[in-house]
Amino acid sequence: MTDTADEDLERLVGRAGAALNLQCRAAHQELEQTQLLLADATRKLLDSFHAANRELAGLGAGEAALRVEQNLLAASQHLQFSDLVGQLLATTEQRVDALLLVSQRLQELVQAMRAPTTGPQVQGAPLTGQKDAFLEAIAALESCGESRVRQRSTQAGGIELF
Amino acid sequence: MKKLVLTVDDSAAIREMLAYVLKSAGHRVIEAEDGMDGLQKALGHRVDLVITDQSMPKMDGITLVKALRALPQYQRVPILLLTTESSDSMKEEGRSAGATGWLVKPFDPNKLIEVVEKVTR
Repeated sequence: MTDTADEDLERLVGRAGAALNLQCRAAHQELEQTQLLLADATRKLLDSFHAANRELAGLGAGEAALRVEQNLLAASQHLQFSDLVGQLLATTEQRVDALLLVSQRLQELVQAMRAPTTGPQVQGAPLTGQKDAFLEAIAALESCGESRVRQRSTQAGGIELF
Repeated sequence: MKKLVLTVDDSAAIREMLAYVLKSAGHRVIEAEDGMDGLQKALGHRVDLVITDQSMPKMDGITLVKALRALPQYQRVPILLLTTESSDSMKEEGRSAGATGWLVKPFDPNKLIEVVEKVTR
C-alpha cells in the first residue's frame, strides 16, 4: 500500500476505535443505571410482598385469605426474575467492558502508529507494546463466555433428584 | 416433621423467597450469602437440609457440596443445588460432588415443598 492509503486506513481504524469507545462507555453507564433500577425495584417489590404477607395474618382463615396466600405463592416464583435478570446484566456488562478495553487499546495502537518516528529501531519497540496490549484485550473479549441464564420467562425450572 | 433448612444464595430475592416458602410450610430457615458463609453456618448448626445456589462469590455451590460431604455430620444430609444453570455437564458435576438433586430457577413454591418433604423424609 502507498503512504496515503496507509494513512487513510489508520484514520478509518482510529475513527472506528473512537466510535466504539464512545458507544461502549454509554452502554456501560446504561447497564449500571439498569442495575440500579433493578435493585431498587426488587427491594421495593420484596418489601411490599412481605407487607402483604403480614397483612394476611389479620385476614383469618377464610376464602379471601386463601386467595391472597395463593397469589403470594405465585408471586414468590415470579419475583425470582430479579436474580435471572441480574445475572444476564452482569454477563452483558463483562462483554461491554471487554469491548471497551479493545476500543481503548485500538486507539492507543493507532496513536502509536501515527506518532512521528526518527528511525525503524525507535518505531518498533513502542508499537510492539501497543500490539501486545491490543492482542491481550482481544483475547479477553474472545474469552467472554455465554450467559448461564437460558430462561426466557419466569416459568418454573425443572427438578431432578439424583 | 418440621426441619431446619440452610439456604445459600448471593441473591437477596432468592433467599427471601426461599425463606417465605419454607416458613409457610412450617420449616425453620438459616440464610447464607455465599458458599463460605454457608459452610460456616452449616458448621454452627445441626441442619436437616441445605439448598444452595451454584454461582456465588467466595465459594461456589459445588465446592460447598464437596466441603460439606467431607464433614462426617453432613455425609447424609440432603443438599439441593438451586441454580439458573441446566446443562447436563454441570448437573453431572453436582451429582459427582454429592448433591442430592438439581433444581433450575425459578422454583415453583409448591414443587419445592414437595421436594423438601421427599428428601428429608
